[in-house]
Amino acid sequence: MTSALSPDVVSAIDDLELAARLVVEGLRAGSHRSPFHGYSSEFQQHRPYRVGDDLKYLDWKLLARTDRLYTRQFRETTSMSVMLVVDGSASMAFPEAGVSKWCYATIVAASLAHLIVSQGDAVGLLAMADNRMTYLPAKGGRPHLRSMIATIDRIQPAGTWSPARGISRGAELLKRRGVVIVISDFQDVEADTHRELRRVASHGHDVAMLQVIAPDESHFPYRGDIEFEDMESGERRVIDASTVAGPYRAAFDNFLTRSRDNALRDHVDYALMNTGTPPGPALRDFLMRRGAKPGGHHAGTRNTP
Amino acid sequence: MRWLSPTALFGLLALAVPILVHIFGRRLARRQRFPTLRLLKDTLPRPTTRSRPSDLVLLLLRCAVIVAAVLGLAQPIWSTASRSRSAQQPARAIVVDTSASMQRLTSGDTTAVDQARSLARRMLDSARSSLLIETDDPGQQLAGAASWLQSRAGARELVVVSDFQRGAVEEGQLAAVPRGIGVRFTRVAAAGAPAVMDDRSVVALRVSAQLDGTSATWIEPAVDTRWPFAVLAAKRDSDAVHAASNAARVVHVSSDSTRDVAVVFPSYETRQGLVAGAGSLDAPWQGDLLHRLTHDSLLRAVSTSARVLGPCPVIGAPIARNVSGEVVATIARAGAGADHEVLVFACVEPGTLAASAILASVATAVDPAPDFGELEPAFVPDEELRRWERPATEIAPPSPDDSSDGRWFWLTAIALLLIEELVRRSPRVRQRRAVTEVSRERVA
Repeated sequence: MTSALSPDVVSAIDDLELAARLVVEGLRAGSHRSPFHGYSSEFQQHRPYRVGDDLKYLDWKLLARTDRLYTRQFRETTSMSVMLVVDGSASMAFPEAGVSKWCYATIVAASLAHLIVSQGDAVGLLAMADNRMTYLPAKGGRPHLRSMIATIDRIQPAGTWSPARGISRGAELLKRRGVVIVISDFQDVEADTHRELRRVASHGHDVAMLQVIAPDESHFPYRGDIEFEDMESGERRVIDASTVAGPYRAAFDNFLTRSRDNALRDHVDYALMNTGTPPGPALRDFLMRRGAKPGGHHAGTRNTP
Repeated sequence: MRWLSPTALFGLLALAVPILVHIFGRRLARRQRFPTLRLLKDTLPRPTTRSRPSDLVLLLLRCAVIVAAVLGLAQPIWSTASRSRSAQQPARAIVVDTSASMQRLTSGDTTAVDQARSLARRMLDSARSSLLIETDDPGQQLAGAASWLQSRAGARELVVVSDFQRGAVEEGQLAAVPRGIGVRFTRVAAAGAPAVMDDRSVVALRVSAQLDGTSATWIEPAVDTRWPFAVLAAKRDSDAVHAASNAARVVHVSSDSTRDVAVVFPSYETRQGLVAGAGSLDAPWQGDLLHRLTHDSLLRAVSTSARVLGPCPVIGAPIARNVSGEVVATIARAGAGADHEVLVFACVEPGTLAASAILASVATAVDPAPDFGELEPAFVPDEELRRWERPATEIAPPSPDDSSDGRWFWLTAIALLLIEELVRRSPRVRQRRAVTEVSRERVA
């Protein structure tokens, strides 16, 4: 059964781990290949033994049958490292009533972490709230997952974040090539963000951006004179909402289009997540697209596990 | 300038609303925390925190709308020339007394009623709206006239035209006239004497006092009135006696008398026999008769100059003497076997004034029912009328059909609203156009 847990139901679950498990269980219900492929030491092919090959990969049974030396080859045998870079800036606290973008982002992050760990891969966390970084190295295992979920749960969105610093630091912390998933509204310093994403992607990392938006941001349901307060800078401005509603919606759509276009151009995976839709299907769509994408996962053929 | 509903002027306090909104409006704006103002700011062609120059115009316009609407609500009435004229001309209800006493002649040659009518017509012309009531009982009509006046606007006045005979209008009936309505009394003065309708008959008024007023009835004696007494005279004197009787009728008004009295003139043939049988008065009613006759002013006045015809019989009691002390007439009880009970021996010629006076005196004495003192109607004195009168103090609120000038203010308010709408819209239109241009550029 596909999880159609609505965002408010999921967010109502206090236990983030439970929420993540529920979402992931919904994901599992569908049959799909692991998008974070890499661990399974899956046999791929034989090839003639060459001097220097590790004797432990020599197919002894084949040698016995055919009297020829063959070495067994496996698909990726090393575990993947996934770094979740989560934007904890104050703007993520929007909307203040109902399911905030931050709440949605934590559920998505926790679900991803749950999924990754349950596949035996390593997952790390870099959250940046109030310009302070909270960092957990990429590791596997249940205890790590649990502490990670607890860490995410403790963070309250505040202040600003520097996407450039966060993304580059997250990529650095991976130590080797891996997956960098950035969960944010990408409202801060657009140019920096895309430059950094492009840079990290060009370094060989598999980069994905999950853009979380709230319906109120896109629909802009406000009317009349409203004093808008910037949640990050605290700047206030009285704006006649009725007047700017149309132009604002156009500008917001532009912004989303721009984000997606930049991501495509930079070979960065992109997914738009609306807090008004259940996180399960959104995540599932994202993962299925990754799975279908050629080279979207690290399936390098290696000799050694 | 007057206000029909001045309490509505408190609505001017509502002026505080647009002013306060203008001052605190920015602060009163709902606060909304928003992820970022970046996109919002991009959509604004110019900052809106600075108050727009049109704001002051808008504020003034809104204040003006409120003022105009409030003034319209208060229903003002401008004092125009025509209005002030109509305010000076009161609504007037005129009650004209047409009762019997008003039929009398005035010093002019008309009856009091006619004079009252012409007076009333003059007053009608000077009134804004008027009502004329002709009634023989003005007091009863006061309440109706007052209720008509109450439905009128402006100053109101109730006028009663009458001779104000007692009972025509009572002070108690004035209570039916509400305060604020003026009451005025116009007296039509009648000459004291009743009008003589023709040369033979006398019109007299009988006034009787009752609990609820005084009523008067006209009495018109028939020409062939039977005298309540017999006139005894020689046949050759009959013309003279007839003339004397006619003259006496001017004074006497007949009623029914049961007493049997005869006036005996000297020419009567059996006078000596009657004188012989006559004696002194003995019954109480005869004493009463004697008293009335001796106190009759007419008889006394006329008999002073009377010429006595032969010596009067010295019996009974003399009732009149002339200046020289001679008895002009004497009264005695008739003897047994006579046709009459009481005999009045007149010692004058039947055709003289004294004879007429004797006849009239005897008639009124024998049949005193319509005492001439009662015939004279009593009038309410002027001082009392002045006390009853009151000026029209209160100006009645105009009735709903009395249109106020509020409609002009309403029109102004609507026009101002339209202007306000235009002013409010015009900068927005420009702003919106600018916004779409900006976003189009961005898309490009």
